[in-house]
Amino acid sequence: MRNALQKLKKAYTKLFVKEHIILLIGFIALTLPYFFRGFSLHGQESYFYYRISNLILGENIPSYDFLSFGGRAFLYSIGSPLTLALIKLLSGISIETLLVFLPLIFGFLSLLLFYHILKYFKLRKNTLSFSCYLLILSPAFLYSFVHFTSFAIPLFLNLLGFYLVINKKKLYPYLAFLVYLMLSFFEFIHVLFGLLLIFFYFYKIKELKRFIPYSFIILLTLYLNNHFIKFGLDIINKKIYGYLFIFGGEYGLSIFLLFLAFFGLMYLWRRKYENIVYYLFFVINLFILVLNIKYLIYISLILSILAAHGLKYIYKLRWNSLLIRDITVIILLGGVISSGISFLAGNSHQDPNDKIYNALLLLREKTNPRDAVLSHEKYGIYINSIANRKNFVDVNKAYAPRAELRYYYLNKIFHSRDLTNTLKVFNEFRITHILITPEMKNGLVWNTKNEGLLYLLNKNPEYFKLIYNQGGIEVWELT
Amino acid sequence: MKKKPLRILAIIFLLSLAFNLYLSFSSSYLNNDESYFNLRVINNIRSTGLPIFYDELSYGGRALIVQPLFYYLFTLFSFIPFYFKIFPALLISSLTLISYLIAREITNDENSSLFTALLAGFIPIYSKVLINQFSVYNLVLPLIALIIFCFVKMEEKKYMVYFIIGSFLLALMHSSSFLLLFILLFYLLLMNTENLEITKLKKEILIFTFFLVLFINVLIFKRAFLAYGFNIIHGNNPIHYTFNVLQGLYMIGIIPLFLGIIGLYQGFFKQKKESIILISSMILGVLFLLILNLININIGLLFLAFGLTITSSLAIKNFFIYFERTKFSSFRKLVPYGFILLFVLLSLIPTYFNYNKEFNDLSDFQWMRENSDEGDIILTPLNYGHVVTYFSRKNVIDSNFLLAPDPEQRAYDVDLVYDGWSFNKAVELLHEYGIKYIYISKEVKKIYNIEDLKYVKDEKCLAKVKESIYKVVC
Repeated sequence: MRNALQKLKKAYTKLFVKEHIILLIGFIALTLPYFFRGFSLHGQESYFYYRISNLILGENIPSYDFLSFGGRAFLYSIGSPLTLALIKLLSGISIETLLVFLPLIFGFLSLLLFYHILKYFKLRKNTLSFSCYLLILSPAFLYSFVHFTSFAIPLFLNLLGFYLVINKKKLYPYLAFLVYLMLSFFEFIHVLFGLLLIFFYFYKIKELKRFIPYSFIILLTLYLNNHFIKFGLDIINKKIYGYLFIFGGEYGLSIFLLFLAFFGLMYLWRRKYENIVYYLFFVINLFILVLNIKYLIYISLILSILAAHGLKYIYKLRWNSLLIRDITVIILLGGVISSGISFLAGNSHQDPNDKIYNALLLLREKTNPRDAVLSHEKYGIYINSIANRKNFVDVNKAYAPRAELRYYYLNKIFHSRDLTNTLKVFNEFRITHILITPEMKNGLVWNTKNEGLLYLLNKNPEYFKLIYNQGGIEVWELT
Repeated sequence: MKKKPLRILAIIFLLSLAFNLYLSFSSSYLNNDESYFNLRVINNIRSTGLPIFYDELSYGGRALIVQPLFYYLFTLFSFIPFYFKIFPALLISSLTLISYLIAREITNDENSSLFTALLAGFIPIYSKVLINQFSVYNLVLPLIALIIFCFVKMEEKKYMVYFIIGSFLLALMHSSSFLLLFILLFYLLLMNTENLEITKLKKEILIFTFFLVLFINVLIFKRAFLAYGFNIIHGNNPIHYTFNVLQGLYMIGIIPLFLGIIGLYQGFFKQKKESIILISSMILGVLFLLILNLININIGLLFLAFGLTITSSLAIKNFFIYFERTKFSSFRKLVPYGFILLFVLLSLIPTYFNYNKEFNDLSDFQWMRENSDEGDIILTPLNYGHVVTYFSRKNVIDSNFLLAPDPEQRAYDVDLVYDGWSFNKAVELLHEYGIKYIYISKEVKKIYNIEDLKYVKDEKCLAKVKESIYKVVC
């Protein structure tokens, strides 16, 4: 019986370390949410890039965005929308289709590259496969590729660039340079990670000279992103729990992955200062992460590898009780898996749902292009992209005009029962409609049914008219 | 174990049980509104097979996080009449047995262990937190004590298994399992600072327990973690605890406090006993949580008192040894009687007089159930919240703060309706929360130090339908 079980264990282990099984599981994890919510646009970033890419296709790179924050200078990172527009022009595939399928393709390719990069460094099969599985299950990786995000293309480019750098074939260094050149059109952090990685790689293999051409990319990036310098690193106060998935970080780290990575560091520490390059690389990356939470995606890559080593370390420790060891490992893996599953479950519902979508279509019909719609910032991009109308605020705060003042007013409007002042703000910002969702009523903005603006809307029919009310989603018009 | 100590231990256990049962049955009501919530969950399990995950009556409807084990366990006993009074009493009394076992491990002395058992059966704080209450702490405290006992005896394999099972059950039962984590962390810290070696098995078990408890709690409290982030440690609790030091010390009990500190000093600094270090870790863990205001004062004092009672055992033993060496050793037979006298004066009597009935008459809630519509909202102070829902009506606020909508604002508004002056503001709030009845009994008036609602002049808006009930009619 015991022999049979051991044979079975070996067979399963062999199966799970195979490349095609890893890729298959990765593909399943990435496509799973699509089967629940359908192959259509999902999430704020997808809609944002949908609008911006179409804008670029229509009038090249515009200098002004008329819809976000009631109108603002066109100061966005243009890498992703430009790539989308170019692919559309070259292939004729619609932007919407690209936004749906590109993340899947890039996600799959990124996993493939990640696998081959680790394989190049001759990681043991078990460690290699676990690194891949841990990456697949990390919320940051899933977030990047289960819908279109600002990470989808640059993460792929980073992995592709590094893969080309480490391969010795003749043309590859030139292609790698080209890839890193393309990266400079994206946000600062992507270039930073890419260059840091190759810098440490060249240092490790004692060929630092090879880095010199790449250093010019820094200059190009600085030139292209000069207006983003202040926001390029996004040095904004981010609460620490944004970094952890369990505490509500949208693409935060699993705490169990962190524990495993901690054991991974203990594994590295066995050779003490021999691994100093790795520690340094890790510490610098942590520092950048503190400055910019978006860097989580790259930290996830590093932690997945460390955690796989940690898992091996725990397993190889001499335990008194093998049962306790096995259960501890199962718990740790269970924790990592539960984060991945939680993320997938949370992203299996269409966002925005049909009811909100219909309300936004109604807004498009009933309003004219100069009207602004008030809602929570979470719906700002949808107001721009689906209703094609101006929003009061949205999540793209960098370089937004009078952003602080707008948020101050928004807070006041939402929680005040002062009709005169509320109407005054509506007039000043040309707000003609208000979009209210059940989520806003259930804690996102209000907790009771007669709080602040809700009270004003219900008690003043001479000023506010309910023009849409379906499934708790309300559209109010200022009369 | 010899027969005589066993008999004495049985007597101590029965004495404690009789005492707890007497106090419990002296009132026809339970002593804490949370007890009524627990009863309601068990009734729900009996009728549907599931605990309450969405409570339509609490806060006008809200999601609940329920750790199911406690409720399912008592559902099994719920066919026994007065199970909610008998079993809690049994569990409190079981502390005498567990503390005897731990004390014997620490002192290896029967007499001091028996005295410790006696002390553990009658601690003044029990009257506030455990007696006549159907509370999860009735089960959590003995369980944590058992886990500690198993940890002390970990070298025997069966205790290792019990320890793991106990930790698993605790994690499924209550968030106090985090306290266990703190105890174990402080244990690690203290053992290291004292240069004492922790066996490999214990290290492995510590790592395992840490991840086990964390994993189960992450699964159970996932929604709350997402909603509050790190603030979950405050549990969305609007109450800011204030601490009266003298009263706190009195609640712990004079004897456990005095002897406990001496025992702690002797065990920790002189003998460096591992078992005492473990109990010290418990005390430190609780103090840490108390200082950071992360635990209810009374619950903190409960664990603190129990820890000090256990460490008392060492002081008692050393006192007996010391007494033997003095000129008064010929009176050694009188010492136990002296100790019992002190125990009666400083432990038993304070525990008895510390017990106050929280609810004297809940018949008004029965009246409201019969005379109001289903779905009507009844305003009561916070500590009556679960009583309202037990009688099938909606409350404005109760003590289940986790995931509750804006409890801080609600607590403020409830206070404003009871002791505010403004009629308009009160009516505005009554309308905002859709309140139909206001409950204002003598006890409520005492809480707010009022004679009546200050703004009520006529019965146009608030009609007095009973001595302690106003109906909102406008």
